[in-house]
Amino acid sequence: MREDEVQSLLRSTLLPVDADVPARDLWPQVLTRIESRPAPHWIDIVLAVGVATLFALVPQWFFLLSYHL
Amino acid sequence: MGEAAGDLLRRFVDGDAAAFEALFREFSPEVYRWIVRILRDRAAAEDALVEAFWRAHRGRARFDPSRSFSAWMRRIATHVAFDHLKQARRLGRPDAVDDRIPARAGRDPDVSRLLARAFASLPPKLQIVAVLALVEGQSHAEIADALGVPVGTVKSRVFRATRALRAELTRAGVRPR
Repeated sequence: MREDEVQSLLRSTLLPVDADVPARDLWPQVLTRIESRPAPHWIDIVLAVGVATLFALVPQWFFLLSYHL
Repeated sequence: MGEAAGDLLRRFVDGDAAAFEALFREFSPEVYRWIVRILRDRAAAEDALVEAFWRAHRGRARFDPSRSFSAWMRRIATHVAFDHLKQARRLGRPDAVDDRIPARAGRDPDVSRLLARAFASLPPKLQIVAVLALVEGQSHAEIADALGVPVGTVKSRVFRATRALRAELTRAGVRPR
């Protein structure tokens, strides 16, 4: 089977999507997206939980860390 | 399509919200059509359009106002579409599955289903070049520009995509009519 045959089959399989413009005005969504605060990354959350747990288990480390900060 | 005026682009880079909205109004239809060609799903393309303009806003300081805004947006949109395909694949719901892209009348529905499934199982980077080059008839140079890769890379990806689809069809015993 040649490339043009695969191409022909693919073109007959994938229907053209007839869409010139979005169905609604998306500008408000762009603004909302810009104004929203980014969600914290899961690594940051894990780190924060880890540090909080550490301080709960070994409170002395809090003062040690505070001293060095 | 007309290119945005230099003054408007400079204001956009400086963070002028009105300039950004003007650019959105002018370029969003073109960017949307480009994304729809890749994702072939209107709802997903709307989400991707919002994401693309958000990324453009976030990265506006890196934009050179003497360059083409249209080409810059197209590149961002292509990467957003690529990320969408990757995420859909990771979640196990490729967009181009057979029930969402029905076969055209007059074709063997089994072959169309098989090909749609084979297409959906292609890696996203091959899917993008396959749909743009083989289905939409975009030039290799245009695809290379949108992806930010050399033309040779696009040719190689088209070749690999075609080979994978051909292998799948041959394995199923499909012969050209």
